[in-house]
Amino acid sequence: MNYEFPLVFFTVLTQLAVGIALAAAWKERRADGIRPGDNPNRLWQGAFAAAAAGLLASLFHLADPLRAFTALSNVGHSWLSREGLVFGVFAVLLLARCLVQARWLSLLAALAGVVGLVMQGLTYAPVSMPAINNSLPFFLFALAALILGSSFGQEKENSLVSLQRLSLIALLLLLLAVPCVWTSGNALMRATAAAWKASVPFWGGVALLALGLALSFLRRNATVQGLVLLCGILLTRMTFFGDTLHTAGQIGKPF
Amino acid sequence: MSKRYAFLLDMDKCIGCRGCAMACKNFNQLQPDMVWRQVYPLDESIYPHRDRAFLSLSCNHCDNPACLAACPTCSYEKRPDGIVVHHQETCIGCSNCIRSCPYGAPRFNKAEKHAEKCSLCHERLDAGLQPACVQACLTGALQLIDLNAPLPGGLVQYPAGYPNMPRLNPSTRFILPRAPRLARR
Repeated sequence: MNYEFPLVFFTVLTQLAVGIALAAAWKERRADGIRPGDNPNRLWQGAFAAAAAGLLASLFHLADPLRAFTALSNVGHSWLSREGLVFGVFAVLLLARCLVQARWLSLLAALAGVVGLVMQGLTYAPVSMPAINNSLPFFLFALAALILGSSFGQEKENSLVSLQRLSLIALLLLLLAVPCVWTSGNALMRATAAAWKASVPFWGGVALLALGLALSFLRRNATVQGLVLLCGILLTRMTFFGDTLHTAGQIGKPF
Repeated sequence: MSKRYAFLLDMDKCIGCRGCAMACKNFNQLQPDMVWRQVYPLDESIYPHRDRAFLSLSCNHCDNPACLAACPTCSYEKRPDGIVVHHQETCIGCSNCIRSCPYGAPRFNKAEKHAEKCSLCHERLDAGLQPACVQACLTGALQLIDLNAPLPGGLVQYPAGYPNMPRLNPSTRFILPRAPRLARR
C-alpha cells in the first residue's frame, strides 16, 4: 500500500501551521486573549516551524526536489502550483510575523493560511477519484486545522476547548458517515468505502481522535492530548491518500 | 479545419493479443516495468460470454486533459492536431498527472524518475507513418481516425468498463463487441 507519506506529512503539518496561525491571530484580536505570562510570538514561531517542516516534507514527494521551484510555473491552471505558491507566501508571512509584531501581518498570515486550505482541498480532489472529487477534502483539511490549532495554539489555559471539541465531533462524524454514504454510490465508491472500512490506519486514527475527545473532558495534559490528536489525524490522512481508489484500477469492470 | 487525431478500437475485432502494447513498448524503448498501452479484459458482468472482449487503451488525448491542467511544471502540451505531448525533460516527478488522469495513462518511470505516457507516435505521424500500435494490430481492430472528418456510424465514446468523463471529453472511440454467435452442434 502506497500511503504517500510525504503528502501525509505535508498536508498535516501545513494544516497544523494554519490552525496555530488562526489561533494566534484570534488571540491577538481579542483583548483578553493574551494572558499574563503568554508569549504570543512563540505561537507564530511554532506555526512557522510547522509550515517549514511541511514544505520540506513535500520535497520528498518529488523525484527531482532540486527543481521544486518549477512547480510554480502553471499557476494559471494547476491547483498544485497555486497550493505551492500560497503556502510559500504563507510561510514567508509567518516568518515576517515572527520578526515584526504587527496585527495586520498576523491577519494577513492567517488569511493566507485559509486560502492555502482551500487550494489544498481542490488539489487533492482529482476527477479520477470520484469518492473525494467533491468538497470532502476541504472539510477534512479545515477540521484538521481547527483541531490542531486549538490543541497547539494555546499556551497555559485552553481557551479554545469548545472549538476543539466541536471540531473533533464534526471530524469523527464525517469520517464515520462518509464511507456509509459511499456505499450508496457507484461501484468505485462502494469499493473505496470497503477499503476505508478495512483500513487499520483508519480505525486507529478514529480511535485516537475519540481518545483525544475523551482527554479534553478529563482535562489531562494538553500536550499529550495534542500529540494523540496529531497521531490520529496522521493515521486518517494515510487512509485518505492510500485507500481511496482510482478509476484506472477499475477499467474493464463495471463503474 | 485542423485535424483531431484519435484512436478507434473495434472491440469486435480485438482478440486481446497485446501486439499493440508490445509494438508500443518496442518502438518507444520503454523500461521493462513500463507500459504506455495496456490491454484490459472486460469483466464477465459486462460481457457475459465464454469468448472474451478487451479494451486496448493508452492515452486518450482528451479535449480537456486532466494531466495538462494538473501539471504544475507545464510539462504537457496539446498540439493543434489534438495530440497531448508530455515533455519528460521538464517533469519533476510529482505524480500529480498520474493521480489526476482517470484513465491511468501517465505512468511513473522509476528508473528515470519522471512521468511518461503515449505521445500517439507524433514523430511517426509527422513523417506520414501510422502509430506503432496501429501498424502492429493483427486484426485491424486499432485504427487512427480524425474526429474532425466524417465518422462511420455506431461509434461509442463511453463503453461499459471505461470511465465516463464528459468534462475531459476523451477522443478514443469504440465499436462495441457483438454477442458471440452460437454454433449448433
